Amino acid sequence: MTPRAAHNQIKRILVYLAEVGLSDDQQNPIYRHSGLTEITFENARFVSQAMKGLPYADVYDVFLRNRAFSAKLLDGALVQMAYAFDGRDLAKHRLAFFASPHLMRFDEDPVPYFNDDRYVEILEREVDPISIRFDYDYSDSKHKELSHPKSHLTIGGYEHCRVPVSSPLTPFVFVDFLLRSFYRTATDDFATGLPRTKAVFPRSITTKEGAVIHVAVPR
Amino acid sequence: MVDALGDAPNLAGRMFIGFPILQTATGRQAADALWLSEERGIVVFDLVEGGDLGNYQDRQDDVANAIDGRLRLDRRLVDRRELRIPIRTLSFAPQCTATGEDDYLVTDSASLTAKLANLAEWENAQPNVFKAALSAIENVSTIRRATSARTPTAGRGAIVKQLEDAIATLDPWQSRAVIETIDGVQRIRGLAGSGKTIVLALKAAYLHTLHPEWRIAITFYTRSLKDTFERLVRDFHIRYAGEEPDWSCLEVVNAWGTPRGDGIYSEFCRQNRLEYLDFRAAERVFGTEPFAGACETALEAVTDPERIYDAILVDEAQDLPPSFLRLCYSFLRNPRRLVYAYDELQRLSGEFMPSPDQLFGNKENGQPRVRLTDRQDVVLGTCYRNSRPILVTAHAIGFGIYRQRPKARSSLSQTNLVQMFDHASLWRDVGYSVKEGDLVDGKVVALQRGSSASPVFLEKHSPIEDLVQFHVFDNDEEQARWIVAEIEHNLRRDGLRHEDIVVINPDPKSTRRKVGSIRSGLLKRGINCHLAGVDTSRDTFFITDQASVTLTGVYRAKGNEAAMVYIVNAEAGVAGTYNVASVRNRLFTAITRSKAWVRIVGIGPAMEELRREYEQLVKNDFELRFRYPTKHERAEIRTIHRDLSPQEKEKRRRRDTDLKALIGDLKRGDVKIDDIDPNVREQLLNILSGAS
Repeated sequence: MTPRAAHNQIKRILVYLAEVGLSDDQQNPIYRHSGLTEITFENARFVSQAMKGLPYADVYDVFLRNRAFSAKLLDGALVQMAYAFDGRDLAKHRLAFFASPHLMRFDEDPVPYFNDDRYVEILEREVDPISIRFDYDYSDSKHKELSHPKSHLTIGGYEHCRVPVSSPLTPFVFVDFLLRSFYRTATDDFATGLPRTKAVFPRSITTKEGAVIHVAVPR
Repeated sequence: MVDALGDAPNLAGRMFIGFPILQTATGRQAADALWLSEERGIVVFDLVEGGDLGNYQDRQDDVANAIDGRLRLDRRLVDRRELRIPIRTLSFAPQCTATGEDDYLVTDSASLTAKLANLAEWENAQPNVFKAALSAIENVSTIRRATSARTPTAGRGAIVKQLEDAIATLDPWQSRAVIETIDGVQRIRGLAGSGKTIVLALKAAYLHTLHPEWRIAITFYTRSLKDTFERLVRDFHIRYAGEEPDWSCLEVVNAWGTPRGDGIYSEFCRQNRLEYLDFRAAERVFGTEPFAGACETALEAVTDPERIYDAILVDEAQDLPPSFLRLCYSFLRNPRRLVYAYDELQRLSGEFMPSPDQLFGNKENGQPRVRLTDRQDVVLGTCYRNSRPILVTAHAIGFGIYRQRPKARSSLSQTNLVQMFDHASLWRDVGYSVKEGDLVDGKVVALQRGSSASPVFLEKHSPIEDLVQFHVFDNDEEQARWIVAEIEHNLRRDGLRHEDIVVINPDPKSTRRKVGSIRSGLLKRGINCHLAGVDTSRDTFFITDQASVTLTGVYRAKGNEAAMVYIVNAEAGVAGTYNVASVRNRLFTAITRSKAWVRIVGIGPAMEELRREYEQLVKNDFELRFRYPTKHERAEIRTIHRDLSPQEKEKRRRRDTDLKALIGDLKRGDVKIDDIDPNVREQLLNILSGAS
């Protein structure tokens, strides 16, 4: 997948999410050169500032307040998609999903969100929000077999959680995963209509990493 | 003093009693009285009871200097370093015969009007300076200010700027509603855009300034109003008192709230150690009216609730259940200062607002607990947001004034109306006058709105054909394509900004899906937009620091306004057989969000019908011409057009399907007429022909 293709795919995905009503807000992806070719979102600088040692709800609120997201979904979850290319080769990606700590999850009951019910935000208990991150870095110096795979999945805020992933993820594969996992309803499968392309990234997993529990990216 | 002035001829202007609040050398105090006139400027009164004038010169200096200081904050009132309006002072001492001296006037009742008439005229008096002074004294000179400066020179952008620059002042009813504090319940009814929110914010700031020790709450229904209220109250309080309000005594809170103590209901539960219900829990128990049920249950659970507030001000009371107002009432210390503001027509669902005696019930001796005197019952009749054509359109559509009566309703009333005020006189209160006919039950009447109730500057900026437009489309794609093209034109050619535009879908249940094609259309053209979704306290309705057009369902549009309003899928529910009053109220609410222009668009025959209703209004020169329904008819339409519960809707749907199936069976011969019990057949024939 080329930088232009990634940029276009993100744009098409954002349009799709708005069209089906899964998102409330979005920011057009930025395309820029700074040594690497970056495809990112406005205010992405808050990502590194916000992560260190803050409670989850505070991190989320920093992102929300500063509009540091690619899309804000209907239950308040934030989706961030950032890629960096070295020429035509993928150098890095950071694909993240942060559920809202204040609102009921969509999958718990989608109806009030689609009905635009009043008072949905009146919630007694604190919710138990999840966060998911798919990171990729091509640099051999950062790579440590098994403990720091080039492409890996981090669940929650666990510092050393890096589940090996077979290759980097295209924007489509990432969002397809989110929709299938967290936004499926009894009647709607929002993933089927997602604009797709055949583009893939080359495999990056090692044999040893493939021998433990890992995530296989479809090819 | 008011009596002595009351019959004075040639002394026009505005008189304030116990207002404004001033920071003087001796502390914070309300001026005894202030007179502002276009001929004489400002006169501040010092009221002296008894025969001893005391240090009246000092007192006069103090108030004059305090007013002077307040006015100098407004550039429009200062020419270089000179104040552009004279300030005079006068001690009014009915029991004293002293006459004072040139700069320090003293008078009794007999000579009061003469002294005022003899004051030197205000040289170079200018209406604009008068208006700005009034605005500054009333403390409202900042309310129209835009979020950021705009500098368009032509087109719609320039019109919006001109509307924003108009000097805001209060009308006498608004200022009465702010200043008169009642030891008891006060009701403020007003049209959309009549300033209810501003009045409540001013009142809260005013009460907090005079009684900093009181615990005061402002509460409301729309979450995004929290930011608006906090900003207004802060601005007003800083101008009254020169400092931030003490937010621990003056709370801006939601009606419901979470257990973390940010709502009236949740605080009530906490104080009385009651079980708190959140939305999901309440919905499980009480179905479609979760908040009403939650409040009712909490009230029933305590006989003598804790009372912690000295005053509660409720905005948008039409959307909050009556049991919530009762809960507020029982949460107040004596003398139970409850102020509630509402607009009957913006009620989005459910029943009419009950009268105060129905709301608050009877005392043990059978007398109503709350009875409103004239002073406790304010109606704000002037609309400052919508121009006359837009407001009259909203009323015509909201009541169904030019609606065609559905043919099938053979046995029912002869009126085409969807709803009507029970008290005909309310039409006058909300700013209409009778042009022809009689405003009484059963008689034909033509109502019109004059310029005192709908200021002309709101409409003269554009021709009527541009203020209001109705458009009919064949399908969703055509509608979306048109809206997207119009918005693009607004942004690229008309000089409008993203936050000047709001797209409203009146049917809440379909908003998310129905506006999808407009959102994707805008995004494809590089115009960012967002849907006002479930909001948390940090969100606001408009994203002001980003260029993004707001799309919204009608619930979240409430309390907000924009220059250009697009109402899409306006036909939804209009041709339905139930919830018709709610459907019309939503259109009313949506139309009245517009500060300048409104485009009402939709699809198919039902939209065609709405446009026809509007064309009738235009033919009638924006007058509402109809036969006032009788009491009997009003009761009937209330029943027909009421909201149905989901069970009732399901029952209707099933019966309808059964009947259609029967007709099909009969036509095909699967069921013969003779198969039906002759008795049943006869009854059915009778009912359908209207014979029984």
